[in-house]
Amino acid sequence: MADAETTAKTKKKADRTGFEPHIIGFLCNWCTYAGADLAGTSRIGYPTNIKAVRVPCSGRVDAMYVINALKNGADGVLVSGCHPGDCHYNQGNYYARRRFMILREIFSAMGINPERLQMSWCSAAEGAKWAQIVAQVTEKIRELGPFEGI
Amino acid sequence: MEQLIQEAKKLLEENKVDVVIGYRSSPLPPFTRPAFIRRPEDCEQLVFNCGSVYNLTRYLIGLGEKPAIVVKGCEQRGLVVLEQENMLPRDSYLLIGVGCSGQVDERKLREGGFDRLPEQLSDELMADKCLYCDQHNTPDADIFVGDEVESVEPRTERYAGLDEFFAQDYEELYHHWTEVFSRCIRCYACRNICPLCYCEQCISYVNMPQWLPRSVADNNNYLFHMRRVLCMAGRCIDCGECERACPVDIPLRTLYKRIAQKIEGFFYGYRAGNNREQLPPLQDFNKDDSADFIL
Amino acid sequence: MKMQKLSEDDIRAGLDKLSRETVVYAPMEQEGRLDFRKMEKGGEVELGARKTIMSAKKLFLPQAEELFSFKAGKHSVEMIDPPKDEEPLVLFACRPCEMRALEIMDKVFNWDYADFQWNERRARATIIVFACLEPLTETCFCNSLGIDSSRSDGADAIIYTTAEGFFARAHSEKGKKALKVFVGKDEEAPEFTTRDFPEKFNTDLQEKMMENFESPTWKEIAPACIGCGICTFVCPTCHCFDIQDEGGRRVRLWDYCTGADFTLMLAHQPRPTQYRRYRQKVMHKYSYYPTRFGEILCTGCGRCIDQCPQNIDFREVLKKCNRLAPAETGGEE
Ligand code: SF4
Ligand code: SF4
Ligand code: SF4
Ligand code: FES
Repeated sequence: MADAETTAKTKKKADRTGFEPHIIGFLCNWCTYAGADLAGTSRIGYPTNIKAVRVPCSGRVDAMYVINALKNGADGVLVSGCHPGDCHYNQGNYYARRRFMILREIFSAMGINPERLQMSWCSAAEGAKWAQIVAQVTEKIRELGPFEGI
Repeated sequence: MEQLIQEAKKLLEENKVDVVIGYRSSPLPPFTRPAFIRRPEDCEQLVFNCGSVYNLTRYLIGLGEKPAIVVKGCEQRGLVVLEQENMLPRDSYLLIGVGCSGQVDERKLREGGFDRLPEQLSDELMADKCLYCDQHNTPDADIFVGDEVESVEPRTERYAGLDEFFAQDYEELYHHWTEVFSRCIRCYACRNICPLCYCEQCISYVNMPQWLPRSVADNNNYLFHMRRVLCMAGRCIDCGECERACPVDIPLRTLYKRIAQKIEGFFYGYRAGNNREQLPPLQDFNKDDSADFIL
Repeated sequence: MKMQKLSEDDIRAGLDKLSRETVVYAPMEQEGRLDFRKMEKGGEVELGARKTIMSAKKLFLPQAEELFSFKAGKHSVEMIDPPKDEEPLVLFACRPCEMRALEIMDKVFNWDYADFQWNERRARATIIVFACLEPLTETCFCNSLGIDSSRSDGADAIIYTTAEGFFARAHSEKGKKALKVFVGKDEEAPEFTTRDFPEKFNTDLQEKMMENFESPTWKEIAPACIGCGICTFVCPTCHCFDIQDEGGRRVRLWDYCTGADFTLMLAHQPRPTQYRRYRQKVMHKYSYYPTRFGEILCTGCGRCIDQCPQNIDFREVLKKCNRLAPAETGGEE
């Protein structure tokens, strides 16, 4: 019977000293992704904890992507898209905003700190803002410690 | 329920519908069963009482025949959502409305050792959703049978106890839910019985990639249920069927209701199926939605 | 016949001792739900006439079981056997219908391939059956299928409940050994017989079902079925399984023929409607299995009736199947 009941809480119990969070960023191609590029070309430094995944629009990010990222070892997730009104597809970010508002509520109801899911608006011109967002998110997740759920 | 029988007979005789979906009595609790009646002479079997617990609207999608269906007030909200989601046009079925003053809770009935339906249903035996019901008579019915039920004061609050329960810290909640879901046997009855779980290809079927691992283990079950809470967000009409079906008594609606409560607060008092004009929250957006969690 | 006479205290004391020596599974209640659970210290075993939600099948065919795991190297794949569980196991107080189900399933698990996991677990287990002299619940119908629930010859031991106490008798060496932990004197036991149910079912449905495979009556057999997995999961004889890869582990999982994803292929579902799936369930039990193995795949335990959320009564289904008639016109649409 062991198989049926295993794997529950056998995930790594990393110690917190020197903990470097893994963060997955789902970045909209039309804005944040370019913004991150700009930060790079302007040589603005920011924490390397974030691994970027380019998506066509923040509205494309299915809640399952976020859940799966956490399940497969991420400690936090950042979804970042165009500012309200600027979405390349007009409304994608508005839908995304509602979706993740609700997902955060689901997280907190089921016992996952909703702060592990962050969202931001960041345009292609905001290289400096991007660096600041990443620093902020990394700090938040670092405080929360390693994710040990699911 | 003479009127129900007569109306059903007429519909079948006049060929207005192919099948009447309703309730017939049964020797086993809750003392009725779903009935699919196709011959006028079988209409005599139809009953409606406080043991008519089933939400029959889940049979409508993909039925392939023109039905008339008995629908209680609370369940009618599901039809509204299905309509808003373009799954079931309003003219594809005939709605037989009833007045319902409460349904039994099968578990309480069984535990109480009843061998027949009580004449007068006491609050102790009643399903919890009925204690705060605000829609005792089916709105929007094509045919209304029987007497309208006078609305009674709700005895409990819809979201009673939720704030206190969810005030626990995350670790406790996580522990609670993994523990509860560890007894889930993944029979998917909660999904299959739900009037709003109509996807032909449920994400839990998909195994390339396998989003939701199927083997029963606490964390896999937890994940499946997280996905289901997500599916029901802003759509659950609180008919209670999932909990009734669950063979291991998982309190699924505690989560569904919590999200519904939050959604009601966020999105301008939205309640699934209450108002045809107000779209389900995830089908819609408002430029002024709260944005304070966004960096 | 002489049998070992035991009081309730004798049984509880014996179980306590037994559970310290080996793994014991017995019906135990948790928050009102009775199920076969592993006996821990102080656990209260249900000795009365109550039915568990799930049958004892899960001890021999776990709901999810790792077959092997694998690790891919650069040029190689390493296959790893799952951890082996070799402890002897005592299954206490399952019912004759469940024992019978194990014997029925032995056939399919040793048919074209000897399933070593199944056989190994069967060999490892000592099964002590509680006889049913009365039906446990009003949904039991083993007797209507011609099963005598006052005996269970395949079990290692059997225990009878009477007003004066319990009578135990071993059928095998393993049973004898297990019963040794219970004190109690040998006494002359009365003759045990089950109450006969008035209703008897004709289970000889193989040909009738085959001949009427396309009968439109199938649509009326269980139109309320929602296609969940409850009835098959609680059934002591349902044994269909699915094999899936889950992150480097290959697992065998219970599957359910009533579900829309059973036999679902990439582009095609050969049983596209619910009545066809339900027909498969009935026919596997009462036609295909008896044709191949000479026994129906149902022992009348009634769990499917107890747990079906839509209150489908399998006895009613059987009666309807007896009335199956050929299609008046053409075949399936
Ligand atoms: S989730 Fe449960 S309560 Fe909500 S609509 Fe579906 S079956 Fe009804
Ligand atoms: S009905 Fe209950 S046991 Fe079945 S899948 Fe849903 S929660 Fe799990
Ligand atoms: S338990 Fe009932 S509804 Fe579920 S598959 Fe079985 S017969 Fe159908
Ligand atoms: S295109 Fe950037 S959020 Fe939609």
